[in-house]
Amino acid sequence: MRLPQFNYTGPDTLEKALDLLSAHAQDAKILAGGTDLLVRMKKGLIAPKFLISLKALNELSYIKKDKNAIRIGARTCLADIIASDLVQKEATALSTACEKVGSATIQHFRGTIGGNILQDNRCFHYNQSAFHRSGRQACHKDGGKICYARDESDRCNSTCQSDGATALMALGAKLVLVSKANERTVALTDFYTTDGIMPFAMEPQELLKEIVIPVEGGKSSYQRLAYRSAIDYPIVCAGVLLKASAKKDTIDDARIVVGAMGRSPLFLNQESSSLKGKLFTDTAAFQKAADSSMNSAATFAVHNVGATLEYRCAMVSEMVFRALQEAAAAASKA
Amino acid sequence: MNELKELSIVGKRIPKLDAAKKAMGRAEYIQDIKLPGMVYGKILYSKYAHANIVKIDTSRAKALPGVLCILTGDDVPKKMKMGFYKDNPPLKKGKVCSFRDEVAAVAATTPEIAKKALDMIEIQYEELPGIFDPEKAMQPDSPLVHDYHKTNVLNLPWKLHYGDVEKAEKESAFVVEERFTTQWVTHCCLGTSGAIALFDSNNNLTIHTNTQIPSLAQKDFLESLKAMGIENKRVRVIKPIIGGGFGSKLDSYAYEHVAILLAHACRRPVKIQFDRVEEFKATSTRQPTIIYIKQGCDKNGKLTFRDMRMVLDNGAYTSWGATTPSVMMMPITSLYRVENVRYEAKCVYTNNTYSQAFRGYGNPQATFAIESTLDMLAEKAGIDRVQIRRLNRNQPGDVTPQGFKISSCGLSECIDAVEKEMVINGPKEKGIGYGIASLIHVGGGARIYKSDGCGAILKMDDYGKVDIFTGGTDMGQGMDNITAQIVAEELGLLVEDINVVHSDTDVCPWDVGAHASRSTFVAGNAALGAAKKVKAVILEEAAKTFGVSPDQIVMKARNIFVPGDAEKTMTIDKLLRKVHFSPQGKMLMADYFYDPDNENMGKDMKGNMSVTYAFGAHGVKVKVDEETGKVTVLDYVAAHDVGRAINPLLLEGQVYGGVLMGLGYALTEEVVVRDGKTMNANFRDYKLFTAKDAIKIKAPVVETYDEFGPFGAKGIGEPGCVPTAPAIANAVYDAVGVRITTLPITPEKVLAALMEKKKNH
Repeated sequence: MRLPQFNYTGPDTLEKALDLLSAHAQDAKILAGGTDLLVRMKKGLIAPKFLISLKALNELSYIKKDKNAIRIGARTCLADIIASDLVQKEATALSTACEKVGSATIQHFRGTIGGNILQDNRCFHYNQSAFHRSGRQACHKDGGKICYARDESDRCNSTCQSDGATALMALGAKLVLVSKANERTVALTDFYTTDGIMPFAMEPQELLKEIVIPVEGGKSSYQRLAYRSAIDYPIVCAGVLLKASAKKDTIDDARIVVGAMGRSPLFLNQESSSLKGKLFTDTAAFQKAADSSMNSAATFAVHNVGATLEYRCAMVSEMVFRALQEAAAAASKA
Repeated sequence: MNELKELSIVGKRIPKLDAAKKAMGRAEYIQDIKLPGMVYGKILYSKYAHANIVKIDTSRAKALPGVLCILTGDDVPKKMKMGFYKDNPPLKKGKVCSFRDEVAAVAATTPEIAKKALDMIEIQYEELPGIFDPEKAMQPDSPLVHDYHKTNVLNLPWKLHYGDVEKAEKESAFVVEERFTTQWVTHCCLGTSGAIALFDSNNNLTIHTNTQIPSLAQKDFLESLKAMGIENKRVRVIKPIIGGGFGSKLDSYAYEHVAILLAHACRRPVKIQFDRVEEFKATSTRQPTIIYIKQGCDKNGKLTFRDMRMVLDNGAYTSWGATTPSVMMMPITSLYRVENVRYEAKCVYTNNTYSQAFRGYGNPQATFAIESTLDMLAEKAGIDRVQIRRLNRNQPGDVTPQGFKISSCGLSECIDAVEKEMVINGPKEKGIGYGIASLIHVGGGARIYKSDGCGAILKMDDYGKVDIFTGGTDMGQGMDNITAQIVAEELGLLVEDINVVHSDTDVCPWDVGAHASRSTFVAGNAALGAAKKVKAVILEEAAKTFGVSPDQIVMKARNIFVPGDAEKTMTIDKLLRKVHFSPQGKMLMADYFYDPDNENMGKDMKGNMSVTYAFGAHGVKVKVDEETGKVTVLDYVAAHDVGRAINPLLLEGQVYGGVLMGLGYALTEEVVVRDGKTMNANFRDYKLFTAKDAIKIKAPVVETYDEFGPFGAKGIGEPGCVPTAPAIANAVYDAVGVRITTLPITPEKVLAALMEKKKNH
């Protein structure tokens, strides 16, 4: 399983990187840590002609706070985020999520937050070796016309298993995307297509530059379930943000996001709204919101990440409930 | 105990002799070996679980520059078949019976060209209905995996009945009955498989291959040569350093025979090296089982009978997995005292992958059922779980119904050791549970072949250094250390004075292989025997020099001397030179072949398989998350009766590794197979425990000094992973009251059982 051939460039300024990206847009892939990209290349799932490495692009590695937001450079490695007191305090869910990604070595030497958000969607049937895939017809994501995860499906049902994206969506984060000609900011909730083949609403010449996390005094939590303590992607996860009212005893605003169940993290508007005005101690309301989250998320999921679908659906409720409880406990302490 | 007196080298924590070499990347694995003129072989596998091969067209692939030769089933001599059941040709002809069926092979100048050539071979298949469930495959209307075999049930003798099970059941005060299933798991050797085959100009074969059985592999390859019409030639098997065995390399594989065929066809050294996907898909697993068990006891908790029946998914071909019932019989007839036992196992062909030897060789599967139902029985009879084990424990001097003669037995002490570290029946918090399970395993060789022997040749040079050529095979377990320590102890030398040469059939004597936890005991006794012979000569020569009788002389720390007499001392190397460079001088060398005094099983399956038996008890504390079903291991004690620890450091390593392997078996590991196809052929989806999942394991050592073992030692290679799964299952039951009967014990299964329990209350 060697890497296929490609041209490698390692620009040392953002400008050079964007020039290259604009020149080779369709044939190029951005290489940050490579923990997702190189594996897919080795499996023959993609074969980009150009890899534009961000290795020398230190200007995209930072964590800073301005007035009402934490700004994180897209190439910041996960270990830096885990080590940041600022993130731990103001965006707890992200800190927890980063701790769960891969393993200590991946967090320290390779994995970046940008790469974590932009990791491709996964499917038990698609993320297989060329050897495995060679004995059958190609699926939608592999350029074919069938889906192995859901019979008769006319489109790809791959799943977004990013820990970071789920936590960030709960935190109400925005992404700053740049290209040679343009710079735009998009809310993470608006960043996803409903297409499992190309899940991100992003142009080929665009580069993820920065993640902006609004800091408005809310308390967040991230919960995930996996078989092992390292390496595994979540089979289900939940991110939650709770903001207290002026009197501190009730919930002024809530955001519930469920991950690893659909083509993108799922922001559950109705369940989130249901908590408005509720007491932080109202576990019955939490349970109700959690159960409702399960029903909402279940419609998106297919059996394609290892664990049984029934189990994952059942666990949505538990993960959301635990996240709500943890966030509520933190909020009431604050 | 007098026999357990402090020794100089034996009993010391000496790090692995090749540790530095491995850590520095200097160890040569098959991946590192490149021979002059070597070319690369690759194998094309089936695209179906069951299909007729209608047509193979290799013409396009043959025309690819760099391709030296292409072979298909048509090029394989008819009599070239692998496995003891001889049902597996290295390349298949006419029909494929599983996804791992080898249908063609290519030799080319580079691995890339070989791979490209594989893609250019065009094969037309005609798909046939597959059979993937062994119990369905036993039905008369099931499709046949091999038409010539007439039935899917293999003709194997796995059946025994001692005492009278039916009568004992009627007389029992309490009886429990359950069905258990165990899954496919794979060895996960860090070093993937590979072989390099080459012929010299006289058609003698040399093969470098990852094997645990150099001598028996040599025999397999000789048979292949014979089938190829090459008779009376030599086969030299060289095993490079390998990254793990665990039983996976106990049989010869298709890739080795294919390498031989390709090397013969293109007259070049041919290397076949697996990538990780191949390692997952095309090497064999642990034998999966369906187990039906009944156990009973009298009103006091004394076991009255054990009745077991198993169905084994044999897969499409037959390797040692199909013989694991021979070892399952050991715990079935002999774990605890039980007079009436019955057992029958059926191995059934399916279109799945086929199984191999795997650490424990069937014992973990059988022990899972036995120890799980023992807890059920204890509960039903209202007896303490630890008490029922003590009450029925094996004891020194016992002869079990299968005719096993228990020499030393520290089971009682092992249970004590577990209880010392862990209060199995103490008060506990919600969701916390404790489990205990015991084991018996062969500890003094295992006579499953015509010989259970191992040879050793020892020579000493003029400088006090020893070369010992042993039949034993080191595969990372530390056979080299143990051999060096035993020889150094016996000859009064240091470990660094001993060079252990192994795994080359041109230089090393015969050995049946590195399996059955036998290397310390059998290779150890062989080395000790050779050392004793040399020592006798040295003492005799020293006696002449010192003018005393040999029994007054001591050899220690490179010196030979008469204790208490400062005049009568010299260094060993000086004595050796004196002996060598005298008129009629002699070099000191000796050979020794040790074949343990154990017995092959008779037709009634009786026979003392091993000279001695290893025992152990494991205790575990778990936490079960009742909302997610997830089991977390909090504490683990693995106590083992090892006779004597030759090297406590390596011994602990074996126990830690065994327990972690067992924990993966119990909780997370499973080769997911859908309609015969492996779905998780990578380390992301195959849930091997990671470093972060590893837990601290306490490994108390119980030393019973076995009179037959080298310095009292028994084997410890396999036991660590034997009782792990039932200990966990028992702890889960203790924690939340659900009995999980299918491995692995995943969160899904625990949660489903908890739901079911809630529904019924």
